[in-house]
Amino acid sequence: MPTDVSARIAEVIEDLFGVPADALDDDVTLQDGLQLDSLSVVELQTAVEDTFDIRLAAEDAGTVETYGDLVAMVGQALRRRTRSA
Amino acid sequence: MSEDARWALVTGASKGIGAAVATALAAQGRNVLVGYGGDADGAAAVVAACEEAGVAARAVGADLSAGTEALEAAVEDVGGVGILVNNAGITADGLVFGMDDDAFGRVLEVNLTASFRLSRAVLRRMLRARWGRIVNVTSVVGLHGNAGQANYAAAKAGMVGLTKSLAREVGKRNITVNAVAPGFIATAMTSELPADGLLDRIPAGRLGEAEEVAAAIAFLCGDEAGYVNGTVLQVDGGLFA
Repeated sequence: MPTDVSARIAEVIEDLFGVPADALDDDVTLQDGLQLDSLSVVELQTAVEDTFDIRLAAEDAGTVETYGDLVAMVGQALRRRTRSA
Repeated sequence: MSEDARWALVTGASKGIGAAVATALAAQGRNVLVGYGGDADGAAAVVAACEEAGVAARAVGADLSAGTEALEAAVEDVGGVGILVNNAGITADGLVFGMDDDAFGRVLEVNLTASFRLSRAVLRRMLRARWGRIVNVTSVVGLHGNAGQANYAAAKAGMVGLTKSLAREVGKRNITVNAVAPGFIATAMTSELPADGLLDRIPAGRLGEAEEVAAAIAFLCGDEAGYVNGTVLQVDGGLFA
């Protein structure tokens, strides 16, 4: 059962790149698995930031390889925001 | 042109070439963030000139040798910019033998590193908008060198490399990155140059006007220049023809 965060990220991916949610699992890589080029990965991260109103640290963003990494990073950013609110 | 693209950021826009660029972009209907270093009055006058053209404009003060945070915050505040003109520049001339590290580093920081930082900051929005224009104001000195300006020439040559690399990185997304290389333009920065023999070397027989450089930059910022990417346009009266 996907989390709410995961489901919303899946929606963003479908909107931007037309990749359906059922093609996503935690281990699928963004570049090789989903065939996103490096610019598309940046675009995805920016779209995710807008969707959740968060800011992913540039140094963390570089470590995102898989869909699961992205979901986890967004989760961390949301928790940071909750703590600092 | 997307909604984001309605705003432009021009650095070093309180006078000279930057001021002319700001007003030229305003005349094209762009809202303008007028970046300036120390001349708040000059920046306010440019804002007023832009507003007279019927667009929104804001002055944003920033010491680029200390970072670009203030400008980046202003960009965020307006929801991103579609156009960035990296024009801010300083000189600290001297022969290499007597040039200290600070004079070298500071000129690189303001001319080159700030351009890199601002480009990085604005590109994410441009990627999403799938439209963007970055113009780096370099100099013929960056292409040909100049005795007494090793720091300035190195920074300006660096801007050429930055321009060409970035153009290759983002060209797929309808974002162009170009450079304009002014020759000797009649501005405060060139007012102390010795005039002797200089005009003889310029086929046009005169210094250039800031508005003539601004026109080239405004062209590169427009939709019609969408297929011009990674180029360095010399505006030098034929000096290095």
